[in-house]
Amino acid sequence: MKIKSQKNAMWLFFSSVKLSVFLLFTLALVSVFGTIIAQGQSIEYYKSTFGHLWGTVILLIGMDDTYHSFWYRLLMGLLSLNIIVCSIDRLFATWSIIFPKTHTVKTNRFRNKPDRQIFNARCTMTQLRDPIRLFLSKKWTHFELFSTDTGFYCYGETGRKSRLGVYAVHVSILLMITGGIIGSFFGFDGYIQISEGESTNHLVIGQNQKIELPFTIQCDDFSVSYYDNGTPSEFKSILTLKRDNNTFFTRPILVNHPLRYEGINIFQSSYGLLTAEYRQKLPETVVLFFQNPKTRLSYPVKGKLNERVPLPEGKGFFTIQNYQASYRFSGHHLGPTLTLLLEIKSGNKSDDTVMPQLVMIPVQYPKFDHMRQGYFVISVMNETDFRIPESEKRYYTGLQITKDPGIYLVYTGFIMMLIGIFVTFFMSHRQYFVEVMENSSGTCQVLVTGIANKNKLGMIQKLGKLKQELQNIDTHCRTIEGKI
Amino acid sequence: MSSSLALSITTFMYGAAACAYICGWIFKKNYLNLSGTYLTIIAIVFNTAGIIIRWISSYEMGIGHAPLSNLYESLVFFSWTIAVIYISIEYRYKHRTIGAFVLPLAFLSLSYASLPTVNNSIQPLIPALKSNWLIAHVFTCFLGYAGFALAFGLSIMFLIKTKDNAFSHILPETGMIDELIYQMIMFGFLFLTAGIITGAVWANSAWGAYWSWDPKETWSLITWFIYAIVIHARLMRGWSGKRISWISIIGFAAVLFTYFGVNLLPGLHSYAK
Repeated sequence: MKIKSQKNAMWLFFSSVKLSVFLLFTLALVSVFGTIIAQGQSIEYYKSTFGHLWGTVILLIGMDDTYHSFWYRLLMGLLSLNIIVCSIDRLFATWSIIFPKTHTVKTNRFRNKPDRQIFNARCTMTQLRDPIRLFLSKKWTHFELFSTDTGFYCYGETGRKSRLGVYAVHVSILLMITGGIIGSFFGFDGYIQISEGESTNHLVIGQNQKIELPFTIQCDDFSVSYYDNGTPSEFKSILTLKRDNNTFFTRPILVNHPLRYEGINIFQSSYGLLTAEYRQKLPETVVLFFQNPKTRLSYPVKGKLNERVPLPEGKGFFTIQNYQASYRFSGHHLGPTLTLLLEIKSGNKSDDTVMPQLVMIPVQYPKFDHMRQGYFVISVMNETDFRIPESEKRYYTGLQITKDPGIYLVYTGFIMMLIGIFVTFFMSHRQYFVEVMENSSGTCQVLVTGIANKNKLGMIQKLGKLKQELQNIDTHCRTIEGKI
Repeated sequence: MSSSLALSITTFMYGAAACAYICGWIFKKNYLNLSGTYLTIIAIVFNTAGIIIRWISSYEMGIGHAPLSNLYESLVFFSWTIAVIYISIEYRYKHRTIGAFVLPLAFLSLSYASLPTVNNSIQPLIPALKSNWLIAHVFTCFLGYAGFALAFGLSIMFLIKTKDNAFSHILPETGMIDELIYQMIMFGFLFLTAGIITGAVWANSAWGAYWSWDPKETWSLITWFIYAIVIHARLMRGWSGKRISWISIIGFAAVLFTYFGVNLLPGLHSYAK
């Protein structure tokens, strides 16, 4: 006896809604902390951001990886248990309502309902009986007709199965959690980089977990296309899948258009350049732009390496002395840069003193030379001449490779949850009761009433409409009788 | 007419409608409430036009996509959903005072969109956003947000109604407000769920993971938990009125954080800034 009462206490604990609310609240609260504290950082990060004590506490309780920590999973586990126990507990009670073996209509419950509606019909009970039976048996999914001493009554139900909606929602959560667990045990999620023209048949996850793929992935080609404003519009990898010299197929993949084969999914995730962005050697001719900041006049001037070229406005000469594909200037990376030797006259006469100076012109930064505050502001006219043309570039493609055998359960859960929530919120189990009683004078009274398990306001409207429809039947009967 | 002109007029109209409803409520003038209804309907027409014109001009620019791709466009759509849901409730329940608590939200949302810090240019879609799921995801999410926004407005209304003063007695009956709050929460919950699910399916086809604990995902889940609590407290423990109103206000704070606050944190939804 004692064991049984203990079991009951446990059962009561896990079937309580208080526990559900507590668990939902705790999960929400913990999740908030998980978004505020940056996840997956180093020990040093937590200690420097939150102080030594709190940093240690965060690491100790696993708040650096909240959603995979032991106690987050414990909360999820408890919630699942709560859902299971709750559902079983309540389903026993609802099952007999949804699928009754035998049932009796509790006529008094309906007859005495305070909001029952009654109207006086003009036809006789026998005239009304068939039209009403026909009308209501079509309208209701469940229909019964009983004769009484003074007439008859109809009992009907709709949406009986809508009571199952709430169980669908709860089972869907269990499906998603189960799917998630299956995915984390029997699936994987990793990242690989393949250079154009190369191939791979395995991936490394985390520190040292190596996964062999059932086929080889070869990247035949990778390309990026751009919008007019220069932002990327599409990344595309042409992949060939093969096994033991046996080529399966070649197919392009894009972001949002993954490739799925033999349970393995391949996603376009990132890309990078293997070759440099800019040329290693100077192009044959370079067009430089000399702008006089005072007059705002600009002069494009062609130049070649080590060629002494006259400056505009007869100000002297310049020579392109050097080109570096990547140049560092006081700790900054300036990229491709030209070195010019300027021999610029201080005045306009031919015998004016010439001041030779070296000037750096970074290709990517046309405004850089402003800082020198010289006679001319010099920049490179066409930056793209220095870029390696798209056809000569070599890329690597970054692919996300995943396998998730739990996904079908998760997706089933998704569909079930949406249907379940819709049914639970917006459909209800309605019971109707319509009774026709004959008066001593031969006319009869019609009583309309009903109950619903949800949305009582909606039920009142439904009953009002039903009464109207029955009155219409009565009028219709009357006119037919009149004609005869 | 350009999209931005249409939306400027819309902002003004929502502001005017909000003023009309508030004045109508405070001074108990029915003609003010009635003009609020007309202003709201005109505003919805302009709001719809603004969205459609923007959609068309994106195609004319050769980068055609539904105008649901950044913060500006989402704010415009948010005020549209709030106004459309509100007007259908007004039509169904014939209570114009509710407008005083809802239209200011539509106005605020569009005013925020007009701030210079919010980029209102039409930009091409980044590769990750090029998906048919974009419309389904954003549409469902914002229907959900709008449902919760209405529940929030109604909750404020409920709390004012329970304080018995000169302004409270022309408001609808507590029972009706309470029922409406719950209706809006159910509506919001269904669409928030649909929003999270469409987002998960999309993420699974774009990145190969349906759930990544990205801050926005996590915050939508937190919001879902809060409203799940409201629903359980109401259905199973019979909570109503004040307590539901307060949780609904907290829930809406979570919605706002999911919408705006998360942009302060790094994550996959960074383009929604």
